[in-house]
Amino acid sequence: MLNNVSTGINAIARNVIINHPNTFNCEVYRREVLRVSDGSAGGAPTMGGMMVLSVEDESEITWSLVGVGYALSAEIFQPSQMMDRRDANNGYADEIRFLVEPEAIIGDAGGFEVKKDDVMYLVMGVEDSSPRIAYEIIGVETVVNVPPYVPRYITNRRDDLDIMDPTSRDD
Amino acid sequence: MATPIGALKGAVSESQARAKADATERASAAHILNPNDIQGDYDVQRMLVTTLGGIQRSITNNDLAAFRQNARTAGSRFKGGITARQIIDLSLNGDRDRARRQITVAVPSSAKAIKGSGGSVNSLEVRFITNASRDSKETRHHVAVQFMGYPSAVASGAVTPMRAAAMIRKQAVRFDCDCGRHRYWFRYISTIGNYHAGRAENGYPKIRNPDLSGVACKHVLRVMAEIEGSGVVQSFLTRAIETGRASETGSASVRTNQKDADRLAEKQAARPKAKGNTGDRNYDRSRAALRKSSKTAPTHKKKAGSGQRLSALASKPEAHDALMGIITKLGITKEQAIAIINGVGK
Repeated sequence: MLNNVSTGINAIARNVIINHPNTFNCEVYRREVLRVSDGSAGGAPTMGGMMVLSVEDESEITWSLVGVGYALSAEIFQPSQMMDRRDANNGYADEIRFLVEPEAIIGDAGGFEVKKDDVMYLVMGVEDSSPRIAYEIIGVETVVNVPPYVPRYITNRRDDLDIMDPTSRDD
Repeated sequence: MATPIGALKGAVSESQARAKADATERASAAHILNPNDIQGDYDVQRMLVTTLGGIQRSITNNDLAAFRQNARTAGSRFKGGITARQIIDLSLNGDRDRARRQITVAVPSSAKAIKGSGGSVNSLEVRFITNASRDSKETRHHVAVQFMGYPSAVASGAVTPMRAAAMIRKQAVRFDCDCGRHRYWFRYISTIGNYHAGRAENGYPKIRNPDLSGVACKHVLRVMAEIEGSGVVQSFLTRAIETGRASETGSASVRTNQKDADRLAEKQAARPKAKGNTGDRNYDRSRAALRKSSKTAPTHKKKAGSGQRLSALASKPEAHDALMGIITKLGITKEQAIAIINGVGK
């Protein structure tokens, strides 16, 4: 069956993502809506509050950990501005693509699926006190057009959620 | 113990004296870009300058067009009044930051019902005293806030004074502050938005704030936070509404006594200053929840390659350029990358 192709790619990708030298540890968080609604507005049923289409439009939210995993930047390099010293570049993208693998696969304890609107922290180091930089998953795309597909995650930087010093009370 | 708010006696006259000095200075100011100038009557020989676009330079015809457009946009933004919440939400991040770090105290000192041209009460003006920041030449600032919902709260017997007080602090306000930030940056915006409580300002802030950005200074923001959330302000407004209902015309004049004000100021100053707050309470709460759950995240079974490399090399200055190369590819600015490397190398 053709499905074996994408299943096979996924298995190989998982192996590569977890063991790649450029992989980062990551933590994935999901929004939980705090607003409680009786499910109707003026007698008519409603899915959310006024003007609310999905969880991303909700203002009263909290976050909960979905699980930990591994993230590998899958952004193809494009021309970038260089620093004045010409020893590095400043990057080019507002959107960055990542391959993300949960530590445990779905079906095992702690296994999860990364979804749109989740926030992912890349752990910059290996300690509990290492800085964590935040990305929000704004879309999921596939590179293979056969189920079960091979997902790649489009992210935006969320520097307002960064935790530069996890040991401090707040930064 | 002396508190930053000082003596309440004489506070109103001090505030009025400052307003008068401000008006006198303004009356003799030569380099004002008034509405007629903006309309097109500007005489180039006046050599006025602007900082529109980032550099200080002489005003051109194009600038006037930009000013007209900015004034139109800013003027229509707040039609129908501005609420305490909107002031906080629409303010600049830098102002909120300063309000949080530097302005620890905001105490309502006195309130007076303001009468309009017809002789009827049209708002309640509450005078707040805040501390001044350490770098300021003043020791305190006076913020006047007019609650526009006051007359209807007094006239309506449908709700208790306390409920009415809770309502008016969510309704439209006008405000004024005696600090330089308000005077040179924001007073023009509040005038064209029609939410100024003091002297109107017709001169365009061509040098300080040509883009007309922001709403309120740190003192006003601190006061608005107090109006939104403080029980003391609520009971102060309740007293004013009770007095207003007792009088025939709705007029009221209430004061805080020195002892209560000092006690409140001490209590406020002793509050821990939350560093990460933006003023948007929903956002702050969710961000705090995110931080908290991050602390309980389980450790990874396998330390990923990039993380290991970062930890191994962050303390070696010679490897920083290489690490910068890796990190900046993640959409991180140079400053953030340096902060990360320093954070890992600690």
